[in-house]
Amino acid sequence: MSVVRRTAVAPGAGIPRLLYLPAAVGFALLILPIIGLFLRADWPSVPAAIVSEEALSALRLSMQTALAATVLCLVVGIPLALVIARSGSRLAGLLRALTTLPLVMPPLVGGIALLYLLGRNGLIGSVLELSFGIRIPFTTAAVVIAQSFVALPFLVISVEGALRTAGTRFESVAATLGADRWTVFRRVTLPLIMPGVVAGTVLCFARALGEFGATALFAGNAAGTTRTMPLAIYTAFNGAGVSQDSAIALSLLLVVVGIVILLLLRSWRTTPEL
Amino acid sequence: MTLDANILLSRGSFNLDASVTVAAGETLAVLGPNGSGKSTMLSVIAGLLVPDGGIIAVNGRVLTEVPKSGAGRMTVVPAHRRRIGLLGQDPLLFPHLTALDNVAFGLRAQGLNAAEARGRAAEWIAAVGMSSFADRRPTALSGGQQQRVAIARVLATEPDVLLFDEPMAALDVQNASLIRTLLRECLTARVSAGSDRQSAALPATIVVTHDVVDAMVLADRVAIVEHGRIIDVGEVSRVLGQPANLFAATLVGLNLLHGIVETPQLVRMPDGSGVVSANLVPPVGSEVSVAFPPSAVTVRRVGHDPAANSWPATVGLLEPGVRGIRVTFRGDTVVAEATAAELLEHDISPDDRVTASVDPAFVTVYPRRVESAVS
Repeated sequence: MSVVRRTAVAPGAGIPRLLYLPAAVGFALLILPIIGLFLRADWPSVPAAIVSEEALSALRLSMQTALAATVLCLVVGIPLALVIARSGSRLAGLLRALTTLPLVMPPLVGGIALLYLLGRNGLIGSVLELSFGIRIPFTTAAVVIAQSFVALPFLVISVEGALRTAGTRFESVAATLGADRWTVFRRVTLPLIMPGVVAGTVLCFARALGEFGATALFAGNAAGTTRTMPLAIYTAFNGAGVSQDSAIALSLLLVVVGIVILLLLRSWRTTPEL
Repeated sequence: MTLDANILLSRGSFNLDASVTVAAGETLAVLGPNGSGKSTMLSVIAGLLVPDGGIIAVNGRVLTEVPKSGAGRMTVVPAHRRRIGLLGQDPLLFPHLTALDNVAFGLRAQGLNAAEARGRAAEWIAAVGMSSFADRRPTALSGGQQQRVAIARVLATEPDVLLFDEPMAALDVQNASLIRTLLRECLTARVSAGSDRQSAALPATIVVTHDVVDAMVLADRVAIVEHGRIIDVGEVSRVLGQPANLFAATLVGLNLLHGIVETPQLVRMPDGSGVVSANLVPPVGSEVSVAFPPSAVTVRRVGHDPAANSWPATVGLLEPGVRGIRVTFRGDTVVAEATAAELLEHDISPDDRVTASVDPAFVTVYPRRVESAVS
């Protein structure tokens, strides 16, 4: 392996011109609705809507729960990805399919499933309530669990991909140098997959921040404890005494927060020279 | 540190069945064609693969023991507690660490604190001539420089056994030569970064290679591996200088035949042909190997004379050789080598029916070593 050199390629070289059309349509599909949001906004009323106590409370709750869910996903997701990546191909395939199940499931269904598992009459929920007096549904904890449920697959997939790319050769070398498994994980495996972990964390956090369906069913819509930004927007849009303008303002706030976080993580991800 | 290894391993149709002993301070070169099981041997010794049977011990300390019958206890000491260093053709420097921290990695894992480890690492980095690159990441180093750092990294842990798996294979000729010299200096303890190990504590070293130069420069003894078996082992001068098998003979550029001594000059081959040697020949009746360089074989378009060390042949291929053009013959392992001018003068081209003859002055005859007699 010698020093990596990048060959300069003329921009756009090698792409059939015909493909620019669907590419443009795809880009428009993603961007135009957001531009529409900005155009439709009733700008004079935006500042008031954003700094309203209700909006700030929803934003605070969203940030806190999404952050907690992301930490939870990192703590359980990296080990899960490691187990999948180091399993035999058949077991790995099965585990991967099961792990990605929440991706193909409507979040609403996930919310119902969580309710039946952790609800008062649920499999685990009844035990928790009877033995420990703990009730999970319709609490902030339920929000975090619902967000983790839908966001975890994104983290696992991206970390597992990084683990497969990294392979086990560096780990073998580290072992022959006398490093035990824990040291190898900490000082070799984790740094090697860090780009994948960061990418997965971004996706995971973004997914948790935007989570609506599972949260609505499993955690409800109680202001201050479970009403996150998406639920606040939904509530405002349905006009519970508030105008749709404030729904748009809250949406803008969420979009801007999302963009800022993505940019921050992106700049951090590209700084280390790997 | 003496290494004793006896390895049995089956993977599909491939069977590895090899035993080696390497003494403290000794270097054994393992030569063999691709897929002969050389690298697999090293992986088993390093503890990265569990064999189907056998035992691996260093100075009597059992590292791997797998009873052949499946009965009895299995011992496999994990790689990180074996004190066996491995250096492959790919340096595999940790990309997120500087050259210095790569070398310090093993020392840290051995329990040294950060400052001590970096201090020792700096000495090893200096010993391999990489001091001015100590703070660079691997991507900012050339292949040869990376391999230097990798050598420092593996030596810094002062392993009991050193395993080199074709360490020069990925380098260009010039870098390979530099790294080979460095390894020789390391193995002869001239590069030691201040460590003074007693001779009994010197590592046992195995170098897997397919390059005869590596064996000549680095090794005290050579083992030839083919199809998972060691078919010859011994002093470099004997195993390579008086080859007993076609692989070793080809490697050193000799033709090799086997026969029985019929008269004090003549060796009779199984196919009935005879080869005369002008050199000292073992006693009449003994099984011998007959070796001669391709350049001692001349190819002519003349009639066949059965008495004079010659035989009829059909030219197979003409290909670039070491000192000229290499001539192969149909259905024969013997090759000839001649200058282009000579071949043109005698109008030799593929498919020609010719007479090949060997100059008796270049024919050496020595007792045949068979696999079962391998020490």
